[in-house]
Amino acid sequence: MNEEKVTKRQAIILIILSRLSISISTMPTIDIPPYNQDMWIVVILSAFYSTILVLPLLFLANRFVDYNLIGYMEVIYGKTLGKTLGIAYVLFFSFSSVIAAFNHVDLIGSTILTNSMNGLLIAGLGVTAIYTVSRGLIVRLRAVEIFGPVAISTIIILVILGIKESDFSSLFPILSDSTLSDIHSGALQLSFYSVDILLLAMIVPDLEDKKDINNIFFISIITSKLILVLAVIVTQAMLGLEQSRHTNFPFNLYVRMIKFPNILERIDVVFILTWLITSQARVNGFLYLAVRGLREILNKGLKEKRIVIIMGILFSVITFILTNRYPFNLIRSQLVKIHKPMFLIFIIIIPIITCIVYLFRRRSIDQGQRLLKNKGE
Amino acid sequence: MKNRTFYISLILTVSLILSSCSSSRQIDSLGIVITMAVDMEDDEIIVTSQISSSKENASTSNQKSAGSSSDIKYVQGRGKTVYDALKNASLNYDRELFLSHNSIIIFGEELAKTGIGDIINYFSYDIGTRETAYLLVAKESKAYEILGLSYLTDDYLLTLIENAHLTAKTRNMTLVEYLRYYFYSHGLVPGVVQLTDKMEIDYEKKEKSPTRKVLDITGGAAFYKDRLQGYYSGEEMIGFNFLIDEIKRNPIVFETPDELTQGSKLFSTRGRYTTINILKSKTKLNMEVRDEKPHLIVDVNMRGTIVEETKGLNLSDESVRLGIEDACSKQIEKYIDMAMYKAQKEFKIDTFGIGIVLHREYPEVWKEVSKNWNEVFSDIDYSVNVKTSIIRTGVIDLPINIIKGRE
Repeated sequence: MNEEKVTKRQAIILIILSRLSISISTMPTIDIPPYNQDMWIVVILSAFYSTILVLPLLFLANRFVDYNLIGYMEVIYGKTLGKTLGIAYVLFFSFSSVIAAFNHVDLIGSTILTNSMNGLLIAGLGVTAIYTVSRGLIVRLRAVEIFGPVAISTIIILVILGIKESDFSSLFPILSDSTLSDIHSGALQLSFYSVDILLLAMIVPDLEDKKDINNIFFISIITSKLILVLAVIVTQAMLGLEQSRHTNFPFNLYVRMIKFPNILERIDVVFILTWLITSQARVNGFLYLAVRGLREILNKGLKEKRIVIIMGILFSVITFILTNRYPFNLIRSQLVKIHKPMFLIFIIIIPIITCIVYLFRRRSIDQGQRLLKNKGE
Repeated sequence: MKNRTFYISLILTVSLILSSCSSSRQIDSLGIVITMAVDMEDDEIIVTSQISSSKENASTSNQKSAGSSSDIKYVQGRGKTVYDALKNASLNYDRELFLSHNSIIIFGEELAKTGIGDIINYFSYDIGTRETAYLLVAKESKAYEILGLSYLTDDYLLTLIENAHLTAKTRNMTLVEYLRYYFYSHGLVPGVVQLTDKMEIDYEKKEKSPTRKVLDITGGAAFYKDRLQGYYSGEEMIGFNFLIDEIKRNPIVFETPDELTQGSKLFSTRGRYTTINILKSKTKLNMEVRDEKPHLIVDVNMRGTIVEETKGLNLSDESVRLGIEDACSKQIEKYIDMAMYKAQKEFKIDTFGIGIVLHREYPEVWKEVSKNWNEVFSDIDYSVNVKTSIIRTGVIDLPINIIKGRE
């Protein structure tokens, strides 16, 4: 089963779903500069920044097609430092999966299952995550390939259904209330949320065709930004600029406002189900990366199950403690503060330093790689 | 065998856990709220809820005697906050109030004048409430007085609101629409509801007397931010709805010009009015800056059909048709003037969102005037251009009070 490879389509859908889970739930886009009707321009511009900022990671992924992120850290830095950085990345993946789970529980708990205990929701999420992660990457991606297009097309349909009730006059005038620096600052801040490149960086060795790395990245970023532009436009047009900033889940409120024939009494449930698919993809995705990273650091095989269970339980317990202690608003406001430094460290600084070290040690590293290849042959 | 036992146990456990029975609420333990009335008295919030009397909600109760929970139609609670008042209602009502089907929120006039910003907060916080609930102001009364009518069926008021498009003399505005514009510097106009007297005949006394109270939703409540400023009348609301381009298929009644009936030979009684039913209407608002002052241009393009004519017009005559179109246009201009006058001279608040148009078309001018926009709005000049096109005349081309082609 493990010999099966990840197709380009599977990888693209995985990254898009992971991005959408944040984009259509808390929609951080709406609450960044310039805080006005020009947010859709910010989203488009952020595609450019997101690309520029992840160039070092893309370069390394293209250079070390037989290794994932943690693998080439060891090759470039040596065992000790490589493993230390690997552990840092594992912690970051775990952190990302806990935050995604926190978001997941908060949205479900405050929308459709308001009377359910957090523990029950986390147990459901945790068991599903442990099971899917334990089944391996390919099984997970097959599920993503089936449910992903359903989720994406549902979001687009929801966008179309709400157009009639939306007031697009609030989206004008264009570019007159924002300064260029505001727009660029917003686009830069928005690109800090695009940590999903790490999903790609970790599955590079499993790709069917290694030449697809750049294509996967560009198609996924363009598609996810286009969907986000549509979602932001209709949400702001439906709720108004300020109201959409006041609500925790703007797109959910937008969907609730769609007037639909009575055959479907609660259309927001359609959104929640769609969002669950995207959220599950994100939670499982980052938990999988954490498990996979830890397996590599500890030199365990891909079938090692104990790490999955331990990580899954830890993830569930931490999420449980957080959800029972803090409201999501508080966590979100803290997250805004730490998003930037974390992105800088894990997506920009470490990869740039790694690139520099690689360029200095290029000859010896390439020689070692060639030796290893010959040995393998 | 071991696996089979595990899977059977798992299925049984899961089916028990996921049966949704753990926190289920039976329908006969809920009071399904369909309308809420909110008032303030002695610094306390009073929430009065109209409970659904539908079979599903009422007849499931085993007790049918008077005073049983299935007979109760209105529930009232008092508290320091809306939520507190809702929960306190359980002290005198044996069902839990269920708000997800609440489709109307009525505010008492007194409360609306002091401000509802803190009150509507609750309706945004709680996912159990509907953001699509219509907002109404109880004109000249407490909100709870509106709910006290014995003949009020579950969806009576809701149907009145949803039929607003039939006359354009009122407006339906939902909570989410209110909040969409709440943060702008212009005003808002939710609907109004009031108790009016209805003449009824007392057959024993053989006389007519105002014996019955009925609900009337004519007009609109002008708000600035969260405070009630005053009311638009029914006719002013027609102008208002033209200005905000919310006209659907409602009638326009206007006096028929005398000169148009000169060629018509009268056969029976002659009235004064013509009624055109609107088929489609489109209003475009544009701004110009004239003499360094914003100038509003209102262009209305309306197509309609003649549905009633009382004066005796020969509608197959082209000049008559043009004359009627002109008279109809003048009537619409009059409605718009009425609404603008009220907003500019009485409320001194832009309740139409004209500021948005200025912002869109002249962002630089808007930056200068946005801080005192309502003052500027009170003084702006405007011009109205209405183009009426009569495209149908119903199934007759000549009213029955004139004779065709006999001289």
